[in-house]
Amino acid sequence: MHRDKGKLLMIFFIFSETFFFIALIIAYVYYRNFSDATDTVAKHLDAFRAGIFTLFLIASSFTLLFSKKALLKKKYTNFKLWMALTILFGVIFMLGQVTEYIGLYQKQITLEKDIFGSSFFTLTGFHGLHVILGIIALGILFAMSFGKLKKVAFSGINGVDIYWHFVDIVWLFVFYFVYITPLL
Amino acid sequence: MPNYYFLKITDVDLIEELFVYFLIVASIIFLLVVFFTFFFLFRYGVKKRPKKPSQIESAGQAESVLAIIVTIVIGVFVYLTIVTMEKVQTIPENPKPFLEITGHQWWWEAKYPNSGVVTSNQIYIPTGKKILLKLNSADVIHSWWVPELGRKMDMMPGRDNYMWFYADKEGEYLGTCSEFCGVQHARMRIRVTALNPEAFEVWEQQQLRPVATTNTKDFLKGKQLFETKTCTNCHAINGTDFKENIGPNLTHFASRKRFLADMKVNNEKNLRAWLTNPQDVKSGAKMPNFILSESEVDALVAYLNYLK
Amino acid sequence: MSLFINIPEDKEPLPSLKTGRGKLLWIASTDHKQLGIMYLCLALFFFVIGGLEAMAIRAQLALPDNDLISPELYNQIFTMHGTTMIFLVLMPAMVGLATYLIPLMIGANEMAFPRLNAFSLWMTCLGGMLLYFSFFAGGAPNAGWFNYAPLSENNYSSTKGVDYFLVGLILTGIGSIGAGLNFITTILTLRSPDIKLNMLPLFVWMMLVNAFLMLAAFPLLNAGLFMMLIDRQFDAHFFIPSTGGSAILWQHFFWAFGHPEVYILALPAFGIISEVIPVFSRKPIYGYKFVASSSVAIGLLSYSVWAHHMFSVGLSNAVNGFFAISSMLIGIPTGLKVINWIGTMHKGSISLSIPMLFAIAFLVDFTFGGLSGISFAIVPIDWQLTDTYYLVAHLHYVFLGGSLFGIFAGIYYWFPKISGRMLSPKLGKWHFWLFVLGFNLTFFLQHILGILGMPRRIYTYPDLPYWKVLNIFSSIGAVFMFIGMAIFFWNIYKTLKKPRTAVANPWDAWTLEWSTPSPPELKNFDEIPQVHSRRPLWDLNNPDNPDKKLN
Repeated sequence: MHRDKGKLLMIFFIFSETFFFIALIIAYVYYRNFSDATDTVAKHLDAFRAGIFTLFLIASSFTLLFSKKALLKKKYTNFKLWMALTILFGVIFMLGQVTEYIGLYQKQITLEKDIFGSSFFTLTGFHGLHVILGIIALGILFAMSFGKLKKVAFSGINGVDIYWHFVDIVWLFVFYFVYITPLL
Repeated sequence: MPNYYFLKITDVDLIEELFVYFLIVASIIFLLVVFFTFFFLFRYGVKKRPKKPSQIESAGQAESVLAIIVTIVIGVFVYLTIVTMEKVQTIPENPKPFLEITGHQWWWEAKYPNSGVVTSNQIYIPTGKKILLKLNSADVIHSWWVPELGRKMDMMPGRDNYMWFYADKEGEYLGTCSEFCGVQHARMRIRVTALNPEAFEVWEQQQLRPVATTNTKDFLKGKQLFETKTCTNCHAINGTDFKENIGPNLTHFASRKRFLADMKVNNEKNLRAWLTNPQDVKSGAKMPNFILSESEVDALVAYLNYLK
Repeated sequence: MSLFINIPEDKEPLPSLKTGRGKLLWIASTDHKQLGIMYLCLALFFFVIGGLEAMAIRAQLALPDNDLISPELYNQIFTMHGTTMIFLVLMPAMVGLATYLIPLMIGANEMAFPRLNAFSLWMTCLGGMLLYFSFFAGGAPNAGWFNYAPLSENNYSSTKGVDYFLVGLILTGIGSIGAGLNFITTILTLRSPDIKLNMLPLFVWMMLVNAFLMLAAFPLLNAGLFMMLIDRQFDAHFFIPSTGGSAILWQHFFWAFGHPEVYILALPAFGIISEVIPVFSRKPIYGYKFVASSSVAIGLLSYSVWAHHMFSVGLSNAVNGFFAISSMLIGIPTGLKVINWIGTMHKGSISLSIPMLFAIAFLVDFTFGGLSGISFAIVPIDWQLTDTYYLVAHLHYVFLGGSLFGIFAGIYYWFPKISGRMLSPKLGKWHFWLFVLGFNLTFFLQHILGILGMPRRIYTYPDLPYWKVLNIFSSIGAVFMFIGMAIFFWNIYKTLKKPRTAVANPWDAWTLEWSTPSPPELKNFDEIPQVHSRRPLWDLNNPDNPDKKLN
């Protein structure tokens, strides 16, 4: 009997990535609570707008769930449909992130501005990097589902979907600490 | 709230006592480990034993009993640790330091808020009183440590740390910067001179007097060079317009027995070598080589040697 | 929903050089045994370099006011010495032994992810090469292996050395995370079905706990390294106090990694000693359950002690007190293992092979190092002795007396299995005595130097009473260690030229790796052996007195 080592690998990889994001979030929270400076980035953030894009990311987790269910039932057309939607929502989220960055840079809120600039862009930037990697992985699964490689997509989905949900959950924490807590 | 008070046992002695207790317990443990290791090694050597000895395994009693004993011992040390920490490191709510020391790469700046004395590297304190030090840094992390007079405390840029300092007897006490701070960390040493309270007051008054001046040709030339060669861009001399503290304050420089953060004796030969090329003496120091001619060095030495 | 589902085993073997014998094909290997050997070669190579750096340090420090090595060069050397020994010697040596042995010890034919395995090795290699390239790129990192801010930031360290440090360690860190992932998945999914978790050889147990530590600690380091890299390359402000950042935050991140890291370096040594002492006492380990569970306790507790590296930073008494308590507590599971090891020797039948010699030296010297560590947990003592040579003595006692002696024991023990030849015991004895005596001479005296007030990380010191004589003898000890190591390398070289004559089980040991030939075939096991206890080969050879059946 062989246990699904691929899924286990992904679970433990996520375990380690969790610590990475915890460290980045701690930096952000530390500056807010333990330094004398006031959060200069927070007042320029549009929590409502970010919330909309968050909804897209959350939706993408659901579409991924449907996509996986379809794949396990060997309903390949549905799988491709839901997967395409997942990728689309992921891309929309990234576009939201990128346009937000551009908006902030135009207001002179940059990485080098001060500690809040540094920690905001680093934290959301690394998260965005993880989203992009996830989109690429989803894209590969999507592409593989055309033609002879269907079987590979079958075993790949178990790992990738955990990763995507993880990216989503990390974003919820980031969203809370970065966008919501200044408003409380 | 006074920033110094009289006491009966010094903090340093207290810590030493704690260390002795630790040494006793640790030695007992270590000797037991060594004893049993070697006793078993020789008693149960393969030559005297059956090839297949009885395959005993532990049921956990030995470990549990020892765990309990060790936990109790640790409990005692936890108590002693906390009590000693409170004794050594209790700082009043609104601390009013007796002496403020700022670490620079690679020299010490000292200010006495009560009297207004500002000096560098050569630090004096009165005996018989526990004094409050305020420590910070102008650049990277340094650490203040004079083992016979107090604990070690890091000097963090952007943060003030406080600690108590106490000298029982008059004398010179050696210490060192204790946090790696760059190329000349090794040469950022400390020499604290403790004087009895009357002598200390005399020293403070001397420090507050304006610098001595004279009219010899070399002195005046040196004084002029001190300005034109941009020494004043980094060095302050009290009572003049020169107030920069990028380099050590040179007021009363001539009355300091050592310089370069206790690296060299303050005599003409060493001063000359330093002025001729600082990088040869303490490479990496922030003072560049001004490429002074010999007569310029003569003049500057004459000037600095007069600053008593 | 269960974590484990049945999927059929791969029919196609992964690409590897199962047929070729060319030396260059090693580079393309994904075979765990070859990768394990390559890790060990990497470790030994960097050990020579790190050792030469140590010799340079001791040469400069032998005399007061010495000018053999300039401060600029010295600061690079001591930074590289520490970084090399930890990330390029001890880590790869442990990971290498584990990579080689874990599948053999659990009845598996390969690690769970062979390509990830190769990736981890080459990332470690690349990280090491980048780190050393810094010497040619304007100067090696010179801010200490702990790289405190703001000294390590742009305005105080303007050469690229620190950047090479940051990137080099990010890469080796990724390699370590990959190795950790592989260990966990291999141990959890590829065990022979008979082997329950409480039957794993203790080396495997330690590596399992270790793998979790690697997964949880290296990301913290990587986060800090990335943040400092962003500070230096993109003018951010994470750790620069003058623009709002926090130098203390760097210390928190670094030590939150750094303390688990020292346990990552210690646990495998504990595992090796837990294999060696039973075999050479001819008895099972005294208290398997305790050794296994105390390692888990150490793993968990190691995350609660990090600020004991920061006692002199000026944190509050309450904070310092908490970390004092946690640091003293962690001494309990660590120290009590010594009972288990000594208890194994009790009423045993002890033969002093070279592995056993190193195990004995480990017992004495690691205990000493552990005890001096406890003195630092007593905060006021730390306020006098931290950042002195007393601390340098402590860390070398645990790293050398603990980790390195464990590695030496492991290398002598498993050398016949890996290479098919026995290392010469005669040369082994010379290596042992020269190195152990030299080691104790060098580092015992440094305790005294620290108490006398000598700080660490200094390129020279003034001629104060006894400092000169203690430093001279300390440097003499280093010469002994150097000669001992030369003999060790000579031993390996000479032995590798001999024909392969080792038997499968030269030490009459009991774990599964000894049931394979020496060296094992490319496919470890043709059939998975039956295992009913922790010592399957003992059961096989003693059918009338087998160990208690655990499955």
